Amino acid sequence: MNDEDSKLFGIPADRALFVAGLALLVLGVGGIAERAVLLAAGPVLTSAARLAAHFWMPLVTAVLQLALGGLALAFRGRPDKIAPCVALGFFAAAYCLVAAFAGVASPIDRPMATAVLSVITWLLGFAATVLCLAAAIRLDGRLRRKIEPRVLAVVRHKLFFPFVCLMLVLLMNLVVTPDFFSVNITNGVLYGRVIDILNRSSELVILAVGMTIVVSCSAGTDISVGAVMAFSGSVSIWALGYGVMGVDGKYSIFSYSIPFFAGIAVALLVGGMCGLWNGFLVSKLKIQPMVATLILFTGGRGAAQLFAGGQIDRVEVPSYKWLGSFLPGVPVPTAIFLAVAVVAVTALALKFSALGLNIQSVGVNNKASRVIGLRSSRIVLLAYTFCGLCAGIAGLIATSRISAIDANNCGRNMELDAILAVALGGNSLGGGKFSLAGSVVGAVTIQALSTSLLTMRVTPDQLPVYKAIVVVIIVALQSPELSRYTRPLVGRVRAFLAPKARTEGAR
Amino acid sequence: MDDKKSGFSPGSLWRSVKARFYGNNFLLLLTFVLFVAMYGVGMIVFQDAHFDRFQVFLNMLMSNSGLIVIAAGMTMVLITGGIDISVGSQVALYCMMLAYMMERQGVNCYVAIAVVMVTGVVFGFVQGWLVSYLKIQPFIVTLAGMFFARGMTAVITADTISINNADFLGMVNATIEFPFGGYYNKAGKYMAPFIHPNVILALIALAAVYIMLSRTRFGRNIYAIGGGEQSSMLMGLNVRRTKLIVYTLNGFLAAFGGFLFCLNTAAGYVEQAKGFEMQAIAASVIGGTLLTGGVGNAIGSLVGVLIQATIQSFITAIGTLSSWWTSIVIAALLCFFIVLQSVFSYIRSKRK
Repeated sequence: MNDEDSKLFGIPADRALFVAGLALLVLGVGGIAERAVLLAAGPVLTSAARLAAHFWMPLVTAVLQLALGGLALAFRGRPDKIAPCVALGFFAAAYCLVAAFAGVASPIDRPMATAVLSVITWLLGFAATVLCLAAAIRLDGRLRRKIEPRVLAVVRHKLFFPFVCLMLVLLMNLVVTPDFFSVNITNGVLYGRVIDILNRSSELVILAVGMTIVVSCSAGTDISVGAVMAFSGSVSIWALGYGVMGVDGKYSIFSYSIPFFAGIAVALLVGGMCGLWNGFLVSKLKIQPMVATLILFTGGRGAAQLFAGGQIDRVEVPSYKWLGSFLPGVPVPTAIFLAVAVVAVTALALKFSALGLNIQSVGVNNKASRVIGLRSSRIVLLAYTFCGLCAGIAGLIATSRISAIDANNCGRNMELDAILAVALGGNSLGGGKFSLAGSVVGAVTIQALSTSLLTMRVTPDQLPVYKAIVVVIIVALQSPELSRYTRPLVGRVRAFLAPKARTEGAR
Repeated sequence: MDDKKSGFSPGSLWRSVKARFYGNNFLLLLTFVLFVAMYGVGMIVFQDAHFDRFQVFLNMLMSNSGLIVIAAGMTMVLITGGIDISVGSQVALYCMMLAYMMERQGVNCYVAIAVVMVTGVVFGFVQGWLVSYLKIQPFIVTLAGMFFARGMTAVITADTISINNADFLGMVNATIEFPFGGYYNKAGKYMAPFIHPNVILALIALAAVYIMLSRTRFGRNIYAIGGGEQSSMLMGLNVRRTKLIVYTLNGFLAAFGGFLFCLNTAAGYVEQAKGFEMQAIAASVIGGTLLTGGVGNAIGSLVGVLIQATIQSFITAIGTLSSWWTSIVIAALLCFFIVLQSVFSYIRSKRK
């Protein structure tokens, strides 16, 4: 057996198998003991479903862990016998996942501390199982050649990290609010936390799509999108209510002065024009994106208030609510459709034309792209216009949600969330290659985090603290520089584990 | 000086003017001229608002003392090619800390101020470490800092706390009178122009930043890093440490600016100083700082602050105009300066 080959994260695989097996044994014994105590306590397990979720599944998990741990210890040093260990490991890992899901998801009243504790033990068990599995695969050369490339392809995929973040956020929700994933139909429309998150994240998703393109091709951010949202929403309402508003002195619109679709077109036009202006400054005048968009960031809201007359204009026509809530007879919120449509159209346009490639090319090297014949500045102009258009759509949804234009708060801090979504999606803010799907996942993650924190009775004012902590952790983890500082630590752990293994092998 | 050495002649004068014309100093000069012109117009047009009184100018300084310090710090960060958008939230946090410590905890005024300063340094250090050592984009780091500071303000308390601490109010209300430039009020009493000590503190901080940037080795390092990070590294500058110090210093200046801001408001509440960071950035940009880094001047940021304050005073003086005109006019002005900067950099690149 080659020493170099059989290492797992620098630790000899044999040694890792031993450690993981031991951990699993301990966890298995602990799990069985805990279930025994629970059964003795009795009254919690009233229904059959609860019995299954809270007794049998954890018990089976514990037994599986015991068996796997035992196998791992028994076959240590005998790579030829490792195959059953691997098979059982796969089964155990999958079962752990399902059991934990079921155990956590079933509605049962229990204190927070025990819930957290159970999740921690479950995570430990899962980690030990995976480690066991990995070590076993490492030891068996045949399996390794088959399995490892596929696993690595998944783990190293660009979207892996954003997805893991989203999953973690959702998992955290499961622990705190067990009925998180339940969706029901009330009054003919879908209700539920998941629907709510998707619905509320749609503006952010739309903005993130535009922002991704802008970041990719100009290596800068458009910080004006929030203000453009307010501006386009405001102008749209002003156009819809021109001449009919303020008749009753209450600044409410009871009938449109122009057709509703013309109002939508106005919002899109205004958004597009704002984007065009930003794009002109960036691409033609070669102004740094953030500075160029700072102008509209500063003035956009003022202009929005100008059109709103400093009031919060209300729209009392039922059809105005369609975009922000439900179309009559459709159970899914309209905003979700819009978000999906924007993402789909953009993705298709990028996929089936050279546009996506061109944008990335401009982002990687503006000058070189111009030299090879791409009209760099026109692409940048187009990207900013598109971003403005997205902001216009988002502004329509946001104003439609409250059927009013609140120029001060419409899309407030949305630009920051949109940039964050792009960064969380694993995209570099330095431009170049981008992943649209990553940004979308990032946007949903942010909204999921906000919604779940709000359900944990965090006040909206305090929300940013948690957001900030999550952002710093995620971005720091993505930083390649971090490994430079963690390497000595990892080395110490290895040094702690490795020498013992050598004596083991010599024996 | 140059002109004297080479013998004074219209040609040399023209050349030296031309050299200035294309330089960044010209932008600063233009900004200053614009400020003087605006103020002069204000004196004539808004005589009812007494723009001709020295006190009006001093009021502008007094109400913007915090912004002056923070814009100076921002200029410093911008010169390195970075950005700090957390300062507005930081100001809110520091005001809240001061108010909470003094009013709810009964902490001594000076101890509270010291705690705030230390917090600012730590805040800046953490941000600086993330930016310089982990190489995370400054925008993202300070965005997180912005969220964090604003959220922490709400975590401390969601109430509005006004400060009644005697020592602190003593600082708030202390006045320094000028022996000149006064006027007689309607009752015929002589009103000497006065300032609160926060203006002095702000100007001292500004002068310190200016001297540090233009007269010390560390300051020149900052310019070098902004001009070209790679080249300064090859030149042997410790880029990471310099950046770390800049961000830490900026954290301190944010705390100091927050303290001065608090001297004006004497209160702490969550929504305080919202959008302050963009005001600071706008002041720096109007004052001739390039966001690409390497170019900028602390004095310019002062002029930028004063121009914004003048616009604010105009809008207030007109009275009939609504408050949102301020942001529109500032945006237009920003636009003017940004386009001007771009034209200048275009000319410069052509000449090369």
